[in-house]
This record gives sequence, structure tokens and C-alpha cells, in this order.
Amino acid sequence: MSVTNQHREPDRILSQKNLTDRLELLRQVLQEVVIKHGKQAREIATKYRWIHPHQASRYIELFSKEEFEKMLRAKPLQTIRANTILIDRNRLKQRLERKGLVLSDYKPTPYGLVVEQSPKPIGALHEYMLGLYTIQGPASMLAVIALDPSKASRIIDMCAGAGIKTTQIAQHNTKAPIVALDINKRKLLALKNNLSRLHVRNVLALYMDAREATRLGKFDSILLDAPCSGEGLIIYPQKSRPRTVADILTRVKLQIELLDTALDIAQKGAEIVYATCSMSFEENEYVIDTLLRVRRDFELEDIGIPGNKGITSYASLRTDPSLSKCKRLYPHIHGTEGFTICKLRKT
Amino acid sequence: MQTKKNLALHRCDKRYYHVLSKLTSTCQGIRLETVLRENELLCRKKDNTVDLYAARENIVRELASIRPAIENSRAEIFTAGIHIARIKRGKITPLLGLLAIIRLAEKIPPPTGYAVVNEKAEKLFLYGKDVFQENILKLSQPGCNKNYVIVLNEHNDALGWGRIRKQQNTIYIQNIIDVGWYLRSGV
Repeated sequence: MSVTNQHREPDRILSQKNLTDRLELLRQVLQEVVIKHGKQAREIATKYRWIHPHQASRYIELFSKEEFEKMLRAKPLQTIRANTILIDRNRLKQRLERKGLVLSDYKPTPYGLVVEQSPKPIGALHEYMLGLYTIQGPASMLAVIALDPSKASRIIDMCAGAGIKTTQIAQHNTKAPIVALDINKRKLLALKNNLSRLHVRNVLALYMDAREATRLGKFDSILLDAPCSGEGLIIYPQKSRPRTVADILTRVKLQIELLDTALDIAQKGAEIVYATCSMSFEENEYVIDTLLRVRRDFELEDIGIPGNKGITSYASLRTDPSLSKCKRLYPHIHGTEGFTICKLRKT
Repeated sequence: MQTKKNLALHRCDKRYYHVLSKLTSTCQGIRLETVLRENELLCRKKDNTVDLYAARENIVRELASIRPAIENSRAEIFTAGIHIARIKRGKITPLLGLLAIIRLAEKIPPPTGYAVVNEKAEKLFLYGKDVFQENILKLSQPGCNKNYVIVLNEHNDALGWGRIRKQQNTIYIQNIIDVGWYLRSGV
């Protein structure tokens, strides 16, 4: 897994023409979807003012109007993650229950706790400051569960942000080096503080555009929690932003470029988890399908986490059947923030 | 002008190791080798300030191999391991990260240089306040003239660093840094 001192951009399998053609196809299909569901979409956008009519059209195509509105009324679980570097879930639970919290285990994980009641804001407790737990959504936790990096020898978190998943990876593997990248220095500062708070010693964080990660050599475990529309949080008016078709296309372009890089830095047999806090077909299955059509060096893997199957057909678009191995989490079905998680293996 | 090279993280010179070692061994009675264990010390210099980090040995090797790879790019090494102390104009200030690695080395409470405070003081200390004498349940005098103490609650949780100060006929613990800073820091 040597690092290249003399950097040369690898020969791109995904050409600029491939990318442009796929984005243009997506744009045309989404324009058709917007026209098809225009009236119903405007009704939803009037009722839920933080939602753009383009978004409403896309999700009516995905779910149906009734199911989309049911989703918008859902109330996901509030969860925290016990920092198993310092304390196990049971002991943390006992400690917090003595302070009046009501908690239950978040069973798909060995360290998640559902906060059913708390007398104080969950981020203001002394135990949070002491690093005994961190606040993390239930679906977000499942991305690292899917990765399962415990046996990896060199790990990368390509879009690490404040390091919530980076530190979760460190809980699974306290020894292997974890390289964390981000292009936002404010988030990297938060990551630095989280490493200290959560007592994590095996992370090296770089201010770096993840599309240049080919400079860093090869990895056997890769997390790509790609920048996205954030539509998985569409149920929260304060956290959600209206997104037009143009916004989505910008993100899809970046996601394809990032996943292409992830595949370039994966050594043979490496596992890659591609995840977004979005339920959109465009930002998930369509991205992976784009690369499946031009690269023959990876395949989809089954993931042992809860969730609905990946989508292989949306409007007039069809993907490779293997995309059904992805997992989709929905607020109104799984009680989580909206998320899509796909696991790939480099062949 | 600060170049990328000047701001890079490197293995520390022995003199910084000695400065840190003096702090942990004389103030808290803990040998630095015990605290660091499988970790190495890294340093970053900027103007008159040196920041110290503790990172696993393999992170230090990773750093050494990545540095040349990003030399001619806009990428920068942002952080490695845990930020544990700052030395400014020759004076060392311990940070919350040093508490973290002391805790990981299972040296809480340390042999010397700690204070146990009651619940009232714990709440105030975590707001950045000092601790008055009447709220100190136990004080183990530090063995150094800098008077740095690790402030603990009644459950032996490390709340932060303080400094014993005298005021007329009483003592108090001046708050140097506490874990409430993680919420106040704004990031």
C-alpha cells in the first residue's frame, strides 16, 4: 500500500463524456418527473414550506404523495453512541438512568442507546463532555456497522466532517491508522476536538479534497459518506433546505467523482461503504450504477443491517439488479433519519 | 511567512519531551513513558508556540509517508492523534488531551497532584469557574512549583486542569481548562 511520492493522476476509466452523458440523462428524466407531478408537488410545497416543488415531485415519484406525507410526519428515534473506548453501553446506561434519563438499547448496534426521555438537553450532560458518549443518528451509526472495519489495516474516511463516524470507526479498530479527509477547516477543528474528547489516538486528519486521495496510496477499508442534498433530514424543517433539480445534479456529479476516486484507492478485496443522508435514487443507486457501467472492478455486497432494498427502477431509469443489495432507511418505516447505505467490494 | 513545511507535524525534539516529562513526573508523579506507552510525541511550531500531540506509532509512520505525497498540493496535515499540550515562550500548559492519554494509561487518579471536588464545584468548574477551598474534598499536593492539579469529581472523572493558588489565608483552584470547553469552544 505504498504512497506515491511522484503523483500522477491515474488513467480515468470514467471519462468526462461518460459523466456528462449520465448527468444529461438524469436531468432529462428529472424534468419529466417535475412536469408529471407538478400539481401535487405544488400542494405539498405550499403545505410544507421548506420543501421545493422539485423535491416534492421527485419524492412523489419515489413513494407516492400519501406515503411521502406520512414520512414527513414521522418522528425518528433520538440516539446516542456509547464510546466503548471508555465505557460499555450497559454501564453508561446505568449511569445516565441515575440522572433521570429513560434509555433503551438500539439493537442493530452494540453501542447505540435510544433516548426516550431526558430531563436536560442530551448534549449538555457531564458524561457527554467527558467523552463517554456522542450524539449520533441511528442510521448514521449503521454505515460504520456495514463497513465493519475491525480487521482492516489501513482505513480512510473520505469526507469525515466533524469526525462522528471517524471516531466510530476508531471504536471498531483502535490500532489501524485511520486517515480522515475534509475540505472544511471548521469541521476539521471540530474533528480535532472530538478526537480529544473521545480519546482517539489513531486518526490522521488532512485538509484535502478527497478527489485527490489517489496521492495517499491504497486502503483496504473505505468509508465514503458523500456530501449530499441532506434530504434524509427533510422531516426537520430547521435542518432541511429546499433543493432544485440543478442542486441535485451538482451533488450527483461530485458523488460520482468521489466514488470513482474511492474505487481507485481501494486495493483488491477492499470494502467500500458508500452512504448518504439522502433517500434519493439520484444520489445513491444512480451514482453507483454510473460507475458499474464503465468499471468492471467492483461488485455490490449484501449488508447485514435493517432497511428496505435498494431501488433498481425509478421513472424511466433502470439500474443493475445488484443495486437491490443497498439498504434504504426511512423515517416512517425504520424510525431513523433518511439514509442509503451501499457496500462494494473491489475485485 | 509560515510555509507548509513550518506548520507540519514532526516528531518532537528531545527537549520538548523533557519539558512534558517534567510536568507529568513532578506534578502528577507519573513517568511520561507510562503515559505515552505505544504513542509517540509530535510537535508543530508556529511563531513562539509549540503544540504537542500524542499519536500511535503507526500514525507517525503514516504521517511520514503521506507528507511527501502532498508536498506539491494544497492539502495540509491538519491534526494527528490527540493535542495534549502547548508550550509558549518556554512555559508549558497542559490540555484536555493530556488528561485523555493519562486516563487511557489508567493513571486517574495520579499518585500526586490532584484534587477531588464536590458536586457543586463540579458544576461551576465545568462552566469555567474556579474552585473555592470549602468545595475541595481532597487535595493531593502536586510535586512541582507550577502547582498544576488534575481536578476530579467524586466518581474519579477527570474534569480538567487547575492550578493551586493562595489568596490571603485560603487556597483555591484556578481553572486552567475544563471539559466544558468542548461545548463552549463553538466548534
